[in-house]
Amino acid sequence: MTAVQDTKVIISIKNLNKEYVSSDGKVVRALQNINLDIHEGEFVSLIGPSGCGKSTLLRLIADLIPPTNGQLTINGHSAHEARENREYGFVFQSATLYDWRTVLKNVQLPLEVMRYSRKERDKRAHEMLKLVELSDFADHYPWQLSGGMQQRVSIARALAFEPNLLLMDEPFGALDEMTRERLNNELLEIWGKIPSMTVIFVTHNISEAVYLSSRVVVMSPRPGRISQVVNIDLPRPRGPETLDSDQYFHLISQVRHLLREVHD
Amino acid sequence: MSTVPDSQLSTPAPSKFRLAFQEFLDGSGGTVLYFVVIVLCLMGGWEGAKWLGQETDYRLELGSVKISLNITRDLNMPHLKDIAEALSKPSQRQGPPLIEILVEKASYTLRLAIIGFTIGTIIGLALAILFAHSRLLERGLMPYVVASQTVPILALAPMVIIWSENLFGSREIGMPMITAYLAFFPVTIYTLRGLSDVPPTALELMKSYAATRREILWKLRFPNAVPYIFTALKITAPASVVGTIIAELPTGIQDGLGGAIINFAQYYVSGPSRLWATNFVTAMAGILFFVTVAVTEWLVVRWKRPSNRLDRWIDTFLKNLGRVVPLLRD
Amino acid sequence: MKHTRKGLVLLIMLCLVVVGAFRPSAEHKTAQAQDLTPVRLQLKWVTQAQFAGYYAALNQGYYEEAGLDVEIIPGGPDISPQQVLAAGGAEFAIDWAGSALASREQIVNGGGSGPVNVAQIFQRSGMREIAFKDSGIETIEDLEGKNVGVWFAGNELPLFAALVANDLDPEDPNDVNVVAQAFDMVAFINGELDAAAAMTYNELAQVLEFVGEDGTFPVYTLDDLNIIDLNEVGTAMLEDGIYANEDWLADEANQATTIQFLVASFRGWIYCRDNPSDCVDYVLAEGSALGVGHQTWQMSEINKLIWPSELGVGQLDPELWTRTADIALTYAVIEEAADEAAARTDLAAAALASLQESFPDLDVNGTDWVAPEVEITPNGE
Repeated sequence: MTAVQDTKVIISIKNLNKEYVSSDGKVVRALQNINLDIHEGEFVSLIGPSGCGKSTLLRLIADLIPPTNGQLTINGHSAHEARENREYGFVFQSATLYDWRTVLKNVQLPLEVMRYSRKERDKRAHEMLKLVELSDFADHYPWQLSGGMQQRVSIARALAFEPNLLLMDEPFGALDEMTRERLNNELLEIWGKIPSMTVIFVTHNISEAVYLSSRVVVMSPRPGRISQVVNIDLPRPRGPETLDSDQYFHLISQVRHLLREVHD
Repeated sequence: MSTVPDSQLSTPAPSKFRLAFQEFLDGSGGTVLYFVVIVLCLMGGWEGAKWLGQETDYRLELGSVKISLNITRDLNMPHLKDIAEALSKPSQRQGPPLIEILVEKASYTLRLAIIGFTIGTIIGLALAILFAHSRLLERGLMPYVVASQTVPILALAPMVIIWSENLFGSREIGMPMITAYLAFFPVTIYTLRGLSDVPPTALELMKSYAATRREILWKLRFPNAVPYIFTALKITAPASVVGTIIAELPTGIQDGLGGAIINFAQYYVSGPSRLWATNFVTAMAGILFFVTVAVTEWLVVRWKRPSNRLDRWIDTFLKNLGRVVPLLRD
Repeated sequence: MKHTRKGLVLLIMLCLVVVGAFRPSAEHKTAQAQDLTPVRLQLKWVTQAQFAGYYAALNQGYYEEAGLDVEIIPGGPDISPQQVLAAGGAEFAIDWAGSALASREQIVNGGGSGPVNVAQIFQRSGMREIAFKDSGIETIEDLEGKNVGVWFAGNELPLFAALVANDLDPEDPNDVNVVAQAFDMVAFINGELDAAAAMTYNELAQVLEFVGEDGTFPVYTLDDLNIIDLNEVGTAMLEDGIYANEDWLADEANQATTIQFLVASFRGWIYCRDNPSDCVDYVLAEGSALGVGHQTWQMSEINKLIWPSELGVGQLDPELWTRTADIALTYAVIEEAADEAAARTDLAAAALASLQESFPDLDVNGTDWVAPEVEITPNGE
């Protein structure tokens, strides 16, 4: 997994800029001159203080907002085409489950929109719930689930149509530390099962970023830009022993130093 | 990876009795208790005012200020006991008890109210969906929708009835139109709000699936609007009963509560309790309609966390009922 | 799937409710006989003994015999019979002469076709001004300085004319304090009014039917009341008459229909004179909330307004018509004197002749008729 250079580039970002006009009429530069290539099968974290544009970058990749200028291609075509082709799954900070749908129906939502057959919808949704170990809760409504469980449903939903790209916007940011740790392991396990899947993961949690990623992209604010990319060559599979390793601590302090620099 | 025990779902079970008691206090019990207390207060206030009038010989003197308490005389405010009695006694020699007549009339009025309510709801929903889709239409038509509600329905009703007579040869067709006119507005406003009050991420999720506008409408906006729609329906249900009565007045039709109100108002002196009894039955008809809508809401919006007392009350009530009729709860 | 089935059950339930609601009421008329001319009669108010003659004609089959399929449409608050007539919602309407003249002027001035009086059922007015004996009010003169209740919207004119004839200005509170009165007698019984307007067949009875707080009955009898009869004062206006649209009447076929309608209606009223309790039953069948005692009293009082009919039932007394029109003009209910065409007596005369020809034994004048004793019941039950 460390030999990223050998695999093909999934996302290519060149000189990307994003500006927007704030409510008082000022032009704000959200992102300035972003250059980044992401390869197939990578797990890339975007980390930085608030206002560094990490979520904006993720939304540009997802074509949820348009860039001001620059180049952004996914699998060789534009972000817009990628969205139209349903090439990525998106996981928001809040689980964003539809309250009126059961857990099973929530997982089936993208499959309905994408016109999968009823049989296929049922099969896949049950598979996904099994993957996140929530099969017993298929008929529950979202409010009956804890925050962690809701987020697992939302991951199952994002994976239901088997995209090769998973975009995650601080998915575990609102969870307690214990739950977060557990979900980190689950996420790694799922990612390990689908070798070609690329994950872009926005977080402000250093240890999480280091623990999960193959690369950590450190960003700085005002205007948002990439200040450094750190390769995380911790051995996989990662587990409790990774958390105790010196290399892990070393990488964490390296990222922390970088972040402190950009903060000042 | 381990199976996650969920704290919210698997709390250690307290004794059955405590659970039932807690449920009673939280849900049905609390509501019933509040309801009884409020009704008792109102009844006490009514009879108390009458007592004060009687004690002071209907003239209250506070220093130099003299207040006439004529309003508390039996002619104006009959004793509650007399109102109850009026219901059980026939209003016509050898006739059935008044309550029987009034229930029959109430069912006629409710029937028309349901028709008007249904038409109004359909029109209200259609307008809301139209407006949600086209800003231009909304800006163009919304002022008229609002203006329609400033026209006094009392002035409009006789004209609609006459038109209905001319166009369809029946006044009964015009009556639900008047009710619908009254009922569609809250549905439009609340539905429009529900269609647009969607969390931004919920919308982005649909966008990430490259969903069409129609899919967004039927899979996100409309389900999201359902609780709002029910709020509107809970407003329009009792209002439909009032609207139907207003529609009944100019027709002189004796089959409904409107006819009874005209009658007992005209002969008020010879039985004030009858008019009050009719008012009571009218209120009950409105409440019955409201409760029907509230129960329907509970059945349809089962996915929502029971948040208010009424929901919880229906929840406990229907859960108990559900033990008998398993169809209600799957 | 469980979910769909439940949705289906809900949908079916909803459909049942809606379909049930739309189901037409069972009592609606069965297939009507062919060859009958459909005709609608708009009443001035809700069903009560005031209109018993028409219900009798319907129930006795007189209308059918006359070749008519008559639908009687009750009136109500906020709707005027003339409004319905003008809109074509009915062929005939029952109204008082004063309001008919006012509507006619408005409609004709607006370029429309106004109502025409084709028969005058009530030969005298049922309007009274009543006062308790202890008030000392016996004549119109005595109303000076008193609180006097009247109904407005045109119904105040007979009393106003009477006041003016006695040099009292109804507009001047120093002369007489005219108070708008509701259609119930609460203010009169509470003593807030010294005198109140009352129709013999409704409000007067309500005072007599009144039951006291402790169940006392009767509280008031006719002996406790002074009753000023506006017929005697000479300022009464004509009340219930039958009206039809002028343009509609221009068609000869419609004139024939009118005559047929009048023949049957006259028969109905004669029937109610001779069989008042049957007629009360017909009325009660239309309104389950009406009091038997009150309607019996009302039937009797209505008969007194019709019988005797010196010119024959339904015939308009030109003198009374002129008086009504004059009062209406004096008090600006109409701005110009009523035109000739506002009333026609030929149709009623033809109906009367036809009636006498078909039923030579029928008493169309009721000269020897004596009002039966009617017992006042508590609350008119």
